[in-house]
Amino acid sequence: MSQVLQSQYSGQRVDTGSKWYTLFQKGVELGTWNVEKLFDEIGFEQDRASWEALSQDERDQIRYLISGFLDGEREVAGDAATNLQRIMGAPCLDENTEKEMYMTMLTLTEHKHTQFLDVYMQEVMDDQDNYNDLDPRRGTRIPVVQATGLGEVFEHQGLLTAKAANTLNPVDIAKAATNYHLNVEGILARVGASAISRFPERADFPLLNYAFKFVSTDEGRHITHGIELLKELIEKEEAGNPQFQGVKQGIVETLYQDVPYMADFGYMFTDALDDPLGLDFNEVLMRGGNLIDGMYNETLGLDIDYMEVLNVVRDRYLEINEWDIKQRVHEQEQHYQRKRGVAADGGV
Amino acid sequence: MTNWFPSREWLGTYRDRLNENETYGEQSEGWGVDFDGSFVFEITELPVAETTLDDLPTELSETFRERLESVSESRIEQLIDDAPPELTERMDDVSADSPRERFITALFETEIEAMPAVTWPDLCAEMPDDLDNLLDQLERYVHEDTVYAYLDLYDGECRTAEVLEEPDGTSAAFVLTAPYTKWTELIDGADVIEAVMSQDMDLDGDITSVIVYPEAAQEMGDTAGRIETTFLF
Amino acid sequence: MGGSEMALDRELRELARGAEFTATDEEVDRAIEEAAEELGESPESVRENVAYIMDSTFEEEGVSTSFNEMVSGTSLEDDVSSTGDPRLEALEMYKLRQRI
Repeated sequence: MSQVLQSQYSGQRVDTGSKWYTLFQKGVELGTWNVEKLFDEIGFEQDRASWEALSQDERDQIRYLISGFLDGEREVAGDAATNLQRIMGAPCLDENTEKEMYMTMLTLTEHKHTQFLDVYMQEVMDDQDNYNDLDPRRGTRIPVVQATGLGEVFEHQGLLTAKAANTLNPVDIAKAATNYHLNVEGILARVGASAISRFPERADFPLLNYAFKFVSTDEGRHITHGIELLKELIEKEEAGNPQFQGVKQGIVETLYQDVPYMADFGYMFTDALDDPLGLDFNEVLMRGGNLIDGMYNETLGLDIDYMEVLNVVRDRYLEINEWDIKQRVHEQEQHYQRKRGVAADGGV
Repeated sequence: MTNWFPSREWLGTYRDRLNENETYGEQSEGWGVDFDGSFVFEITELPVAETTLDDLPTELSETFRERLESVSESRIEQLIDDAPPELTERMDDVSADSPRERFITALFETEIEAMPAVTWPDLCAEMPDDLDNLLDQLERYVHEDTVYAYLDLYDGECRTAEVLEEPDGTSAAFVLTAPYTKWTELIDGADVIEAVMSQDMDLDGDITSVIVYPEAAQEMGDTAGRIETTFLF
Repeated sequence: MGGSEMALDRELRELARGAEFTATDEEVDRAIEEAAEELGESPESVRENVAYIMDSTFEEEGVSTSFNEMVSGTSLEDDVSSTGDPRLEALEMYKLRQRI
């Protein structure tokens, strides 16, 4: 939007002219779509029929993709409710009240995304054991997520957001926001969404498609928030404020740290399974590159070293290309089963 | 000859420079050995419909104009007599005092894509060699508004580089497509990887192969940037 | 929920690195008018929300890459079950959102 949106109302404690107020208000208007009403409106029938008609390999491919989202949405919801909410009150940031208001909306939508995915996988996709009894809130991710680099990105997210919430330091906040809003929401979620858009006609999942378009619309506001937050930090660094020095460096370093594991995500739902649905790892990689350029270079005005990006992605790709992903998932499942045994014996 | 871009001669220089480039040779060792490493460069949106003969670089157009202005009266009358109908019609639309002036103005106001219809061998004999050659190449190699160049890249070497007269008959594993202006930016020093990431250039092919050879891709772009180039448009 | 209480920008812009417009402006105008009647809202309010769904950024110059990947991002061009036009797709989502 080229014009700043303006509320018709004004208050005393809340600045209705704030960008974050706008994001909050539009979140209230557009982001409170009702997951259960969506189930009622679209229904599960067509999605179930399409699922039944797919081969096992095709189902595995979709399951791997959606599993990444289920764990991802749960992780971002958890970190938003705790760490990000605290970060929004950091003294180094402006408009704390409006940012805190917006963060409640972000958290609500992330929980709704989790709600949708959890019910959808149960209702439509033949349920597999996701080891929920081992408590996803304490790091038990779905085996394919934990066995690939996606788990590394989420682990990094937890560490960075927790550190920033503890120090409330601008550089730490920049790193946390980069991982969370740019890398996870702005790249991982968007390349995953682009893969859903490429589902062939035989994989006709109207409920999944509509829900993900709501998710995508919500994520659009989340990414806007992340970009605006980082721009605020960059502007303060460029204004010479000593406390903010290192913000830009922290942002690009966080990309270089996460990007090889982000490429794993694309690999795990495409070439690792011989890509029976034709979701195309090349498309995933290219889209990821385009999104990096759009956010980091075009919107934030940074100068990403693409050779650095390609070099770290290459090293990781050569490593994972040797993997037998089904064997790795099997080993992760065995690990969880051993943990279950310990838990059954009275361990924790 | 000046290294005009785009031209067959420029592409030949590019092939030679790649093969002389030790860094490229080292970084692309193995490229194309276990897979098809061939490339097609698609240079789209060439401004052949908007550019007239008069708009071409001075060293091409002015030399030709001066030549036509200085040939004998009998020679210009002969050229006017031999002019094809398309050029005669264009002359009718020009208001100028002398037939020579009308002839030259009509010719120089003709768009590049229409040049084949207003030129003939005897007129081309009056052109500077570069101009004659380049107009011939544009006629042969521009399809709609696009030029296609094929490169056979194998194990650190560029074995073949040719401008395609019949692009439909050639397939390549990788296709790099961009409007003409983006190619000129690349030759002026823009980063090829950044151009692809920012969607200024479109790369179609097995990206995972490119990921394994990022330095070679960068060197291909940088090599183009080091050629002393004169742009045709 | 009624229409937006905020004064919004109503121009529907194609993003340079987003999904291309495939419908005509007239088709979009007509679809917005029909949706407004169906929803009991003003066409202006519907148009404002369509614009916001397509682009929620605050950029003065606008960004060229859509942040809403599946509705106004290039992914829409691959989506065989979509309307094919980011304006119509955003309108579909707004209508559905108002029902649920």
